[in-house]
Amino acid sequence: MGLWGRELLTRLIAPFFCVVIAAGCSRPAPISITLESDPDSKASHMRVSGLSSDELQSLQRASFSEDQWTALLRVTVANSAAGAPPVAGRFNVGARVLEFTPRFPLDPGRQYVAAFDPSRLPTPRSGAVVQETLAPPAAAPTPPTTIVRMLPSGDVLPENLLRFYIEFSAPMSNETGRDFIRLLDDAGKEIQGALLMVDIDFWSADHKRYTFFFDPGRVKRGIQPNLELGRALHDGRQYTIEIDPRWRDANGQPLVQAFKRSFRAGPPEMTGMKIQDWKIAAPRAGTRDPIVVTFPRALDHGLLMRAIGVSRKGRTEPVPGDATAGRGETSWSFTPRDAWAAGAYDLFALDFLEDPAGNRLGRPFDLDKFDTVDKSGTPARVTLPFVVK
Amino acid sequence: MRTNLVKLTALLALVVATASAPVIARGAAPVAGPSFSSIGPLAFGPDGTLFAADRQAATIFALDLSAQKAGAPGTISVPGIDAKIAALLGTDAAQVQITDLAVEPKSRNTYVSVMRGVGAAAQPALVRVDGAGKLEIVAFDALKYTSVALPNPAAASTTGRQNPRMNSVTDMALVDGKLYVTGLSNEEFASKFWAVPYPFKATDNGTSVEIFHGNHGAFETRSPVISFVPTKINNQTTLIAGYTCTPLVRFPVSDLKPGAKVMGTTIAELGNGNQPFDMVLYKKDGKEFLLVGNSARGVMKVATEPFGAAEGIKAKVTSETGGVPFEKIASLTGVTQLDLLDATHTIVLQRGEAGINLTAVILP
Repeated sequence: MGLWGRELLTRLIAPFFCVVIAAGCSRPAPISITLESDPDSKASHMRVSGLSSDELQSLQRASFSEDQWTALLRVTVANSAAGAPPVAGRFNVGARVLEFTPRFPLDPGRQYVAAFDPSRLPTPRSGAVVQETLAPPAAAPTPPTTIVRMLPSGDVLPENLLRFYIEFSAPMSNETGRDFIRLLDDAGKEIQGALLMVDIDFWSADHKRYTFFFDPGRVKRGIQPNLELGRALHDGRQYTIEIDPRWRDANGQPLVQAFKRSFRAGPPEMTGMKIQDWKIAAPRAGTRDPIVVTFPRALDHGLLMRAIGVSRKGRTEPVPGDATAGRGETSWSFTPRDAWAAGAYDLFALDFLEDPAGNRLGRPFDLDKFDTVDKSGTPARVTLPFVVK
Repeated sequence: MRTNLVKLTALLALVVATASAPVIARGAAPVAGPSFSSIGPLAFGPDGTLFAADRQAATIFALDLSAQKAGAPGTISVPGIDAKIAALLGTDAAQVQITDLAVEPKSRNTYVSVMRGVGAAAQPALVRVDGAGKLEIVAFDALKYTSVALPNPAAASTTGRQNPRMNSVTDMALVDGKLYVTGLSNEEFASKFWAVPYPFKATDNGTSVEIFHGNHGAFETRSPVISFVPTKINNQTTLIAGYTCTPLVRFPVSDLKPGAKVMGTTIAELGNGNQPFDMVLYKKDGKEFLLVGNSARGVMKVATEPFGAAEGIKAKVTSETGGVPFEKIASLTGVTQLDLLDATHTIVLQRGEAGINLTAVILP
């Protein structure tokens, strides 16, 4: 490049360059901290403005440790305990601002304190710590959650009952249900030690169904908890399950109201089931009428909906359609997607099917001798034939 | 000249673009790490691999933590750890659920699995506590990992219904090249014990056996295992396990073959209304002991010496508890999780008046 060329370049470009720099942030300005929220992702970050380009460039060059970053810009949960660490996150240095992006999205409506200490800049700036208390917008109110039903739904339940299901109108929180479920006797007194107290909660994937178990040590015969305390339920007595409304839903709101479900305990169910005892009301060919199967005793609702199906004779793939459980889980009806074709069918049950006391097809829960062979892997099918005419 | 002018223009364009861009990210580009939908329980392999169960997804992740920047070795007590973890995660203690803890065998740092948030949008986090009491979040996005999905039983599928069945992993341990996993179902009274070869292979998600309990020789039931610990008894790798119905049982690993009926031998009754949630083995004064954390009956110390000879409880136990003798550790109350910290200490999570404390305790 000749001298003329350099001169021309300087005259043409230099003013533009100065404008760019001036438009940036050549001089330090008063520090301000704001909370920026992305309306789409709802992600929030703290933004520090007022830093000069020199200060920002020196921050970009600095190899700050995590401790140095948090000494410069410390973001904490308002009113957190003494000695609590700052909120974890990432520090980004931009051309005009310093930003802090928390590792987890900030909670809507919660207050956070951001404190910027200018003396901790690579080239310390005089002045006091700038502190702001900021909160992301509060979440919109959501409709409250209710308990839709409890299963088994029968009025009389065997005294060796193993489990209950609670169905909710909307997803619940991952709080443990153990603190909110009580079994009361007919005098309204809580029965202690009735339920299985494990540090695990049994939710469905959508958090709308919760399973709780009776303590199997008291249900099973012959072991110490059963011998010492007996079963929690006794044939002929009335009981109530009470659900505390303080149980929070997925939006952190308590339930609309307490829920009570009363039932009477009946005799223990101690025998295995037989598919031959089931009654089939076969549908007519050419219709989409449901097939209705009636059982001599109630079956477990969850397993009833998963372990029973219909297939064409000699085939294993299930006929597609929708199943529903009848009153008290003593029947099952199935409406096919397509009209029934005339011919032979099998009603089939997979061998993990249980009644509410854990008895399976051909095998009681409490076996009084040790004479059967375990079957693992793919569940076996038990079938009951029927004909569609 | 033209070339230089182009270069300079490009430089100016970069200056303008940079000035208007909101942020320049620092640090390395993210690497896709494990995608947990939930986290806990945890178990370390001897080489420092962390097995972390995702109960929501019925998946076990094996995490390689070797690239983590070292913290101060060991773990010191952290009072109010729930509130401190909550602060680190930008929330309060009511929004934090601690699901497990495990001690890394080399550094002796403690890893705590946490769910942040109470709702469906709750997010998993893994927090390391080091020998200086510093809490640090383990970044998932840069972690190397492998994973295996637990088998879900077949269903007589019908249309239009989401399967609500889920397995909840209760405990895990790596034994002789296999990861053993116990779980409970939210539907059938399941009693499965999975064995998955490790390192995980894409084509092998293991086998499972059904575990039974011979109730003192008289009755037999399916009995899920809540917690277990591997050990050697008479030179045979043996699992000491706690059933949901409380008894402590033993069975040789060699019994865990597909198709076999696996029946634990009851060696102790730990009392009613009680679940053993964690067990660790340790040595003191030349003897081996089992430390058992219970849901309702505190922490118990059991000498393992009689385990091999114990014939199993076959008759009605006349005392409140029975079988091999054990000692209740009265000083350890409110314990919700425990692991072995080092040769002389256990690390426990304890409920206190002001929250949950992480406490290093001398082994009893």
